[in-house]
Amino acid sequence: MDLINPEPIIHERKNLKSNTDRTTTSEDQRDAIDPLEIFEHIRDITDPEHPYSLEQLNVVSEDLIDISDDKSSLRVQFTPTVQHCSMATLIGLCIRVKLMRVLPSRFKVDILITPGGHSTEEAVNKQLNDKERVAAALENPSLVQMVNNSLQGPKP
Amino acid sequence: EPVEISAESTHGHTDRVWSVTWSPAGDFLASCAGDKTVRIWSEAGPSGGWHCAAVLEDSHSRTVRSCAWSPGGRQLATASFDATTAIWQREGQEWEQVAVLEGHENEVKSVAWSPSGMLVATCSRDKSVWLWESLPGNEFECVDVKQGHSQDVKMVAWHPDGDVLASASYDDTIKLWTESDDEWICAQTLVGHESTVWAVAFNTSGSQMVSCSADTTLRVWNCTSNVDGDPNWKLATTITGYHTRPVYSVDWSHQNVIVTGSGDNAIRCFVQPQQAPSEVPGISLGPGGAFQLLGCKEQAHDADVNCVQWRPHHPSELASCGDDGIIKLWLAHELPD
Repeated sequence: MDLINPEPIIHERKNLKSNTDRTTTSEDQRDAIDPLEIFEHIRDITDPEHPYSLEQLNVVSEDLIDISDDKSSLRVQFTPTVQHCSMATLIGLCIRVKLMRVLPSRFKVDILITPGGHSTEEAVNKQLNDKERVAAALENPSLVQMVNNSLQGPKP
Repeated sequence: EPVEISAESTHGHTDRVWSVTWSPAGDFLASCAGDKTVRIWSEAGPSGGWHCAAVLEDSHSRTVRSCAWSPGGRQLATASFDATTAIWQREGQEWEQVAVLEGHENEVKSVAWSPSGMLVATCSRDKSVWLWESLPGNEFECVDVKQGHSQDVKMVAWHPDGDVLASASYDDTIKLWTESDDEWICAQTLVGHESTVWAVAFNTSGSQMVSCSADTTLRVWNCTSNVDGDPNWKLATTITGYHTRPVYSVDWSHQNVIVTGSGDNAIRCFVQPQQAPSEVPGISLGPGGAFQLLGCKEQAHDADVNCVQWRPHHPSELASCGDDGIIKLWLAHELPD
C-alpha cells in the first residue's frame, strides 16, 4: 500500500511532569483536569499508518487542548501530517474513543482539526462530532479493531 | 418560571436511550436504546409508578434508533442500525415480531407511521427515504424509494393530514415529499439551518412545523400558499441563543407548546404568545410572531437529552430519555390552556 505521507517528520517524546509529581493543594481536594492530563491520555495513540505516536508526529499537542473542568467541556484540536490525509477521520475517532474511555461521562468533548489543517476540514469535523455517526462506527468490528490497535500505543 | 415540577426516573436500559415514543392513547411508552432492545412501559395501576411491561429483544443485532406506533396502537415499528425495521404486534400482554422491512443499505435512523396507518416511512444513512405500504396479513411492500438528500437522513415525520412527509438530514436541509400520480415527489427543500437537522415536528393543525439542529437553533416554518394555490413552506422565525449544544429532539403539543431536548442536558419549553410582545431578547421577530421561553430544566439528564415527547391525552406530561440510559416522565405545570 502506498503511504499517504511516506516520510513524516518525527519529533521527540517530551518528558512531562507526571501527575503524581505535581503539587496538590490539599489531600482531599481533587485537582481540576488540565490540558496536560488530557495530553498524557492521547500522546501515545499511534498513527494508523506509522509506528509513531501522535505526539511524535506533532498531530496532537498540549497547547491545542482547551478544557474547563467546571463546565465539563473539552475541545481537542489535532493536526494531520498532510493536508489530504485520508486517515484524519480515523485519527479523530481514536482520540474521541480514548477520551470516552478515560474521562468522566459528564464531559462534552469536541474533536476538531486545527483550522487550516485539512482539505476537507469541515466534513471531517462534522462527522467526528455527530454522535450518531460515531455510535454507528463503534458498532463496526473492523473499525473498532483499527481503533484499538492505535490505542495500544507504539510497539516496543 | 420553570416548567418542570417533578420527574420520575425509569431505569432498565443498559446503554444510551435514543428515543421514547408514546402510544396513540398515551397508555404505553416505547423506548429503544444502544443495548439493542426496545422496552414497553406502562403505568401500574392507581398507585402510580411505571413498570416495564415488555422487552422486545433478539430481533435487532445493533442499536435500535427509533420506534413508531401504528395509529391504532396495536403495532410498533422499530428502526435499527442493523439496516432493518421490525414490525411488532401486541396480542394481550405479549409482543410478537410479525414482519421485517429490509432494503436499506445501512443504518435505519427513523421510522414513521402515516396517520391513516396505510404507509410506513423509513430513512437511513444510505441517504434514501423509503415508503412502505401496509397490506393485509402483515405484508409490507416498498412502494417508493426517494433519493434526494445528499447525506444521511436523520428523521422522517408525517404531516397530521398524512399527505406530506418531511425528512430531515445531515445535509442541513429538510425535504417535503408529496404524492403525485402514484409517485412521491420532493415538493420543497427547506434551507436555512447551518448544520445537521436532527428532527422536525408539526403543530396540531399542520399549519406550522418546527425543526431543530446541530446549529443550536430552532426554526419555525409556516405553511402558506403560492400563486397556484399549492402549499408553500416559509421560514417564519429562528429561535436562537438558548441552546448551547446541538438540539436533538423537538415536539409540539396540542396546547401549542414546543419542547426541546439538547446536548446541553436541558429540556426547554417555548410558547408563541397570542399577543406578540414588541421586544423579546434573543428571539427574532418574523411573520410567525415571537416565541418565548416558557421554562428550562437545566441538567434534566446527566448527559445529552436525545428525545422528548408530549404524552397524548395528558396535556402537561412529557417523556424524555438520554445518554445517561434513563427515561424520565415530567409533569409540566402552568402551561397555557
